[in-house]
Amino acid sequence: MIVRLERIWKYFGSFPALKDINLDIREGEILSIIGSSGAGKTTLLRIISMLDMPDKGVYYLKGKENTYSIEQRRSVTMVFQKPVIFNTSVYKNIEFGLKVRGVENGEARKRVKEALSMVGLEDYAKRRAKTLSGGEQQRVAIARAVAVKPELIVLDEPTANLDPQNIKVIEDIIKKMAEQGITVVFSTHNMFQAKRIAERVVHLHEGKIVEVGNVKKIFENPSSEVTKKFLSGELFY
Amino acid sequence: MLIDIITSEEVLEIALRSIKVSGIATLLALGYSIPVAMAIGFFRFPGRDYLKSFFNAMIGVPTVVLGLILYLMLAPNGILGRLGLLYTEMGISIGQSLLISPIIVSFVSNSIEAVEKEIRELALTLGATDFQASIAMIKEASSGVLLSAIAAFNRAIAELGIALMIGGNIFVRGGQNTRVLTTAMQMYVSRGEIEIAIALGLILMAIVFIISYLSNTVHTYLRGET
Amino acid sequence: MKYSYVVPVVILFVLLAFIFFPSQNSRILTISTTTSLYDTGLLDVIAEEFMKDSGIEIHFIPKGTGAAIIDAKQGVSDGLLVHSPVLEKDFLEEMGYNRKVFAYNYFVIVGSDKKIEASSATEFLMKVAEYGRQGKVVWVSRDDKSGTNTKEKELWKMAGLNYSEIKNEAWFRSTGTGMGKTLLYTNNIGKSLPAYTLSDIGTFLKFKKDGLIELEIYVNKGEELINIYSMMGVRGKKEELFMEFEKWMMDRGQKIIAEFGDYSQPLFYPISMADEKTLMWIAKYGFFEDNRKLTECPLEFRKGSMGFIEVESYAD
Ligand SMILES: Nc1ncnc2c1ncn2[C@@H]1O[C@H](COP(=O)(O)OP(=O)(O)O)[C@@H](O)[C@H]1O
Ligand SMILES: [Mg+2]
Repeated sequence: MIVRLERIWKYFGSFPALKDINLDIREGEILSIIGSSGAGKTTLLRIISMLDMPDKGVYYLKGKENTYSIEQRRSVTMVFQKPVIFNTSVYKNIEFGLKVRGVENGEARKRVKEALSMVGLEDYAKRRAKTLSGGEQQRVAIARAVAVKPELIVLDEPTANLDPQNIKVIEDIIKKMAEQGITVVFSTHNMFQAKRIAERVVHLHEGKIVEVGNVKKIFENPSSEVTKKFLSGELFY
Repeated sequence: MLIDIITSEEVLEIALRSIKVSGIATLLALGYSIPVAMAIGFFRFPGRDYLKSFFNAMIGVPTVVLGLILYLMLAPNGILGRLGLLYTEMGISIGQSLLISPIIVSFVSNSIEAVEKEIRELALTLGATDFQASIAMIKEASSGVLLSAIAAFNRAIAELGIALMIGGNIFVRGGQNTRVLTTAMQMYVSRGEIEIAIALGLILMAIVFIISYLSNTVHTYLRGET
Repeated sequence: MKYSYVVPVVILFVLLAFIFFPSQNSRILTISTTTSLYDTGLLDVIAEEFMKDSGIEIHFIPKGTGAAIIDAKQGVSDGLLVHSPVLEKDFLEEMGYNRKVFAYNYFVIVGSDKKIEASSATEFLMKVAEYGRQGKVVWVSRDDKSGTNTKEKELWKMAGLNYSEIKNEAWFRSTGTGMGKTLLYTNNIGKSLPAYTLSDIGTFLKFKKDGLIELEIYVNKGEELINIYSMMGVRGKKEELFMEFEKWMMDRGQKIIAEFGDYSQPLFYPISMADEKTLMWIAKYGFFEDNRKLTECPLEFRKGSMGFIEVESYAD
């Protein structure tokens, strides 16, 4: 168990965006969080990534209560829905996480190269990152997360704004990450995407987990009414 | 004719002093304005909006007003008279740094605000400490810092009020002089020596253009486009 | 991370800046002076020569006479070089010492047209007012409380006119600025209507020589127009250095003053070369009464071993 969330609540003002979340993330798995827009996916992922803290509940990281120390923070990296890019070269974007960890230059160069080749952007190192297309920027963002070798990578709707071709590219990259032994959590409002690449699925609805289980079970035999509706297309985002 | 004036030792000394005095004013101002800008850009505290409007308003402060206030404070009988800064180069530098500080605070805090949340969270999730994340934000706002430094330097080197009131336009061959381009220009105009004044004006414009050009080059380099 | 160097580097620069600036030399004399005197360039030569002879560095700060006096009150200056006897008297009593007249010359009434003929300044001014009220001429005044302006007020008074009243009349134009700009202004409006102004000789000759103005001198010399330059120290401020400068001015300085300028006529006359008659004029307009004598500096304000000129007060 890499992450265990117990009775997590998150409020925005008096509005509860997450209600009593209990969730385990297993080491090495690909977990998908599905749900319509506003369900609380981003809120949950930000808590897992330690960018926000829950208002109630306990967060265990690798069996220990999370104290948000720098070492703990460095074991999880998040890729945002809308890629955020440092206004510099692709190389320096990817290098950033290594520099802050004090990785020495030779090793850093090697790891940037590896990360770039994993996302298929070998020749892009010297390009100015902000001039790339949306799909390419998303790949830079993923390479940047992979380069630091975290134990868990969290991706928030990684393909939300992309065309089908780019969606395929990103999905393949996610699979590759898992092959490298990285635990992956990603959110999506597209159940077919979850079906294609996830091992387990969590269905989030109005801040609550209404269904959790492996892909097969959820798609073939969902236990909650909400999930049935979601799968039948009655619930749209 | 004009070229003889421009390359004369006296004019060169004055031009170099202008660059030195206003350059140091800019460094001084950067030194204490960036932390203020960071505080305004990073934190939400009571009175923050008033502080911002104050600095915005101070951008347009007339140099003679600031010059007069400083003159009264720095004069030997003034409250800061003991520092002996009146009619010295350092006096001008400090005066000009106060003049241009609001430019830097406003530019930098605005550009930090523009990149604030996104870049900060990106840096944090990539494993940066709070300090490293702040540096990343400043770096991301570096175009703002550089632009502000250039705007500030240009304002400093082109202003007259403080250089005249705090500097006094002193010039004795080989002495501890305070004559800078602008004070020299106004003196030569008032003496009817228009030609020298024009030469000094040309030098002033050249400095401003060269500095702006160099900053563009540095800017491109910082962005990693080389 | 390499960007963490930024902060220490900035701090280092700031520290270097403080080291970079030379510390205060105590052999510096700060002397407030009037713009018209400064702008002739005489003081540049004086500062340079005095530095060679004594190693003392003089910082001349040019301002209006009023502002120069404020400078002294703020404790900024160690001495004054001015030409406004009325104002000097108050200053001397309040905080000055060793007032010495070091040079003189004459104000001139200059103008764009030989419309008015007069044998003296006061007569000229009476005619300016008369023709001015008929709309035939204009008078341009600096009206800036400068030494020149102070002199102008005296002249109007002698001509029997009230300065603060005529100031509001249509023919009377105030520029509120320095001599150079006032001359240029007079030159400009002089192209449409005869225009006159009072000027110090130095600024006038310079602007004339450089071809900036086409004005001519209409009244020159005469006791009423005498312009007296004097120096005095500020009590308790670098008195020794200042007195050294004063001695030098009465000695080698006199020759430098006499030789200064590259015009059709001298800019300044050193006091040491004044004849008996001129000395009487200087005494009348630029000395103060002390013990039934006229002197450049009353006894109680004298210091050191300097000699001072005195004349019997009934000499006039
Ligand atoms: N910063 C915020 N302030 C107030 N409400 C917010 C904030 N962030 C999210 N919410 C609300 O919380 C709920 C969940 O949002 P979010 O986690 O972004 O949903 P999702 O990512 O599933 O679309 C939504 O109703 C949203 O309006
Ligand atoms: Mg979302």
